[in-house]
Amino acid sequence: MTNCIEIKGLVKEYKTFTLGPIDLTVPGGSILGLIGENGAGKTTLIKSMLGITRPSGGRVTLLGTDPDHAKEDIGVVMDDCFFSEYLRVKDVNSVLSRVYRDWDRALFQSYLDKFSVAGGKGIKELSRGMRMKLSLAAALAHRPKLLLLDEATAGLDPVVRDEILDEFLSFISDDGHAILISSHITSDLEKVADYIAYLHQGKLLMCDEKDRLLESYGRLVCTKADLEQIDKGYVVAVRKSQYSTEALIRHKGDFKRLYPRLTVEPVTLDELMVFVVKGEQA
Amino acid sequence: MTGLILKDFLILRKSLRSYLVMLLIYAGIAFTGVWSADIVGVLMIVMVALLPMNVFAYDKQCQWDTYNLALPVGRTKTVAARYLCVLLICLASAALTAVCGVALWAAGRMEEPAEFLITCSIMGLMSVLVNAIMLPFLYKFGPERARMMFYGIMGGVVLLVAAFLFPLGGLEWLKSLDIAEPTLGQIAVLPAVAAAAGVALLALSFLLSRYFYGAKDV
Repeated sequence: MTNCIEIKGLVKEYKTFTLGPIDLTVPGGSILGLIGENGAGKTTLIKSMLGITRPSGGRVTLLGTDPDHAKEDIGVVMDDCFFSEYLRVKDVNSVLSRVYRDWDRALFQSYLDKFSVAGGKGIKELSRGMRMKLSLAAALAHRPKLLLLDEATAGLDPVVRDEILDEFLSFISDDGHAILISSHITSDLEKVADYIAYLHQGKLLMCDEKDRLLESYGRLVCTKADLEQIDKGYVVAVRKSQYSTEALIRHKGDFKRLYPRLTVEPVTLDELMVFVVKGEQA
Repeated sequence: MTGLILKDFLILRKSLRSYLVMLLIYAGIAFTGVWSADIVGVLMIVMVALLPMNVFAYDKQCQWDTYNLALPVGRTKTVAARYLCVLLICLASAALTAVCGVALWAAGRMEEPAEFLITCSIMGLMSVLVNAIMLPFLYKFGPERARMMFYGIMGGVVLLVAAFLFPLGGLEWLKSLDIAEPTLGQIAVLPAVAAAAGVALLALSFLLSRYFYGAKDV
């Protein structure tokens, strides 16, 4: 299995924010879910990967080549529809068929039909959800090998999101295809992602297989006295309130064997993020 | 690259339609004799200066630049596509103005066709010059700031020219230069000279815009 994305030491420096250094690999046939709070650097990472914003350092290889040469095989959806309101849906077909070598006009139309987007409509008449579907159709109609999606499912209702997630799963059934998707809707990522990368304040805090990540971390609910007794090496972050004490625990299996009396619950990606951002370090 | 040019024309569709309507109205007014035919040339320079500015504003509105850089086009071709679009607008505008001029002349509503040709050539060159100055500003500073800067520069130029001409008593001093009236042959080549000068100006401007856009972080 070849890697569709290879990032080594990627750095992007701004006056008040630095992304990286980021090392990341996404193998073919897989989906990497990128999570992180607002301003963590997810969009900057995707833009840097594509050369939209110029990295300050590091190397990005997409589909085995440099990003500029790979763009014919990359589909991109950002957090909003980038087609002017002065265009009609069918204009997108005319414009992009002259941009992409392998653009398939019929395939684009079939995605529009599938997503129920009327080709004759003006883009300004479309709802946010419809615009995102249009963006997805545009990202898929040149038969890309790699999809880079930045909040592509934001603003969509659960039914449409489910349809689109199915589309993603069918897309990566080809071993030469991969998806990087950043999303705040972590339940979507829990459904489809094979890997999770967690960006926090520009740094990659975690990057692992989703199942291993969710299996290795747990949420300990205990008393303050219990917390003081346990080995701090297991504790990633702690959240204390007037009524309860919770801790994010690493190496959950070992911890449970060591402290069978304590309750460790499964953790969701949402909880993991909240612990890291809002919890106190142990 | 043709896709990007097509995109620019498609988003300008409504503006171009309005421009055509205005052109017909102005040509109609010139036909009645209320205004001289030169007004058509003035409309050309205004519209050709405004249309490219509008494309940048529309692109900014939907953040097209971000998406554009994810497309397999490249920065140089992106800038080249915009310049070709501007050049096509200039040429189409000049052709339309010429058609109006010929129609007015054929209808006997134009007293001095040579004067009209001179005016239109100068106006055409001016419209290209405006874009040649404006486009690098648009690439460097974006539509809002570039528009303000451009108005500032144009205002400054007008003030400078006025400050220069006022002590000389306006344009009367030109008569003292005793410049010979242009011959018909000279007038006939004027549009070609203006077009060549316009293309050269745009080429220089393109190099500057390409430099600015190449260094830009979107």
